[in-house]
Amino acid sequence: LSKDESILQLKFEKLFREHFTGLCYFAQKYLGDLDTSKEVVHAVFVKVWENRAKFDFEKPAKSYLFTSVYNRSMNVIRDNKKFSSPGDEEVHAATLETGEFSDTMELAELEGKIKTAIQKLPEKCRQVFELNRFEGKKYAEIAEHLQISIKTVETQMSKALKVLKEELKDYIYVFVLFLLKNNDWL
Amino acid sequence: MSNNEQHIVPIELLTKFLAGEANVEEQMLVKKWQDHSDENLKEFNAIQKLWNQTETAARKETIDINAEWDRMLDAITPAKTRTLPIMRIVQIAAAIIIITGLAFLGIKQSQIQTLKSTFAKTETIELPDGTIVSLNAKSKISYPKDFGIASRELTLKGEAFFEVTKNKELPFIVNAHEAKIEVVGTRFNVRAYKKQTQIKVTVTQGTVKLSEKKQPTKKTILTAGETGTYDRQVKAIKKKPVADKNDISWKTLEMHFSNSPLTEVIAVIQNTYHMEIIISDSVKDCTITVDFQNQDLASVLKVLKSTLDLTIRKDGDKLYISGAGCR
Repeated sequence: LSKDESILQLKFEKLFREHFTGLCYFAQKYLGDLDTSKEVVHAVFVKVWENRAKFDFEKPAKSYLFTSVYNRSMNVIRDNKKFSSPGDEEVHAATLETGEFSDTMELAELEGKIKTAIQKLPEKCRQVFELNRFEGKKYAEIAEHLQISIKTVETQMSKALKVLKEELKDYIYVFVLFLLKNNDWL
Repeated sequence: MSNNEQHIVPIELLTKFLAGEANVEEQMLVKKWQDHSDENLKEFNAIQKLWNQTETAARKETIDINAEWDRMLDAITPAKTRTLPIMRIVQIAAAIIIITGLAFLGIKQSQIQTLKSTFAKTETIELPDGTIVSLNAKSKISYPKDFGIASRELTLKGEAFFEVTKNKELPFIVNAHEAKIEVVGTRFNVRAYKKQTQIKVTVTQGTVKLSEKKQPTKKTILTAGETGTYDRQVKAIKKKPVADKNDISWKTLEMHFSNSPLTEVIAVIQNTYHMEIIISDSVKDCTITVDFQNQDLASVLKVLKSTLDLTIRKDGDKLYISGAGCR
């Protein structure tokens, strides 16, 4: 690879890693299936790479990426519709107003960030956190399940929340604003 | 700001509170802290929303970002790069000169190398580029004599397992009837028997690109553990996230059956041991859960026989299975 090309690739990789997960969750909201969603997001990134010479990697690409994924997802739904029975229409009838689009986008992005942050937690910490948040287990149950003390469960849980808060500090306030708006508190 | 206890609440306590694990006294402490100032309330709301959101996020299917990036890298890496090492250029030039030379001399000798396995035996071959190919029974690969120099493209009829040596500059391509399979360096199995309606690609390591020859740009990317099937009648590629381990049992001699119908079990055994087996309708409803590892056909059949109370008869080169059935 030439030097310029390597730099472009690094920028491209950064963009990819930053948005891939969130974009997949976003597409999944319309398509349902994660594998199909991943294919859609891959296709969008391939397009970005093909246009890398003209693509401005310095500008925030978030809305461009989400819009592209949205459009492609709609194409997939349209293509599938040709083969599906009329009963399926309701599921696919995802008509979006502008406000709804940006809310769905913000939410998917946040879910992606949280999921990525959870994956990055130390193994034990993640395990405890997921048992509580995902499986709804009480501290005592987790302690018994993993053969550790309740105090350790407490420590791991708060450690997880601390890390997540730190990892998501750039989003957490935007996020609050967005939810406040939704709740008509503003 | 004062340093009183209402102003700071430890994250441990806040977590306990959100998890519903705090006792009355602890709840009071958090409430007091919340009410102390607008900032505290704002902080609390932010953390609470984050907390609530983690539940939805935890439920989301995990995405392995490193694997996805590898796939992306594979997709955007050009098939043939421009920076060929000088030795390779020399090799290619030499190959071109020799080939044109031969053409000039009018020697239209076949440049194609063909390797075949026999009816009931598997065969393992090393290709000029170091790639190891295991050919299942009744299978054949052919490739040009300069394989590994200018290209790494071959044609497969039947079934083979490939352990491809890594070479980013020369992608490894398998042509199997209507399907085209392209890889950089991976392990995968291709089943493409002429009589079967499906061409099945099972990936055990790395990434494989599967496409229809007529639509070479429409690639389906398969990663380790995935199976891609090209249906020759529907002319479409389908992807399955979980590879069937029995797809490569002819190579590994490992078979896993979990509540599998006998018809399916027999199909796998036939492909693994290259024996034609005919089963009677009476036992088609039977299901079995069993794992086999490195066993010969006789022991496998013995297990089936005693578990399902079957009668097995050999006639010529075929096996006949019958029994009272499992209803």
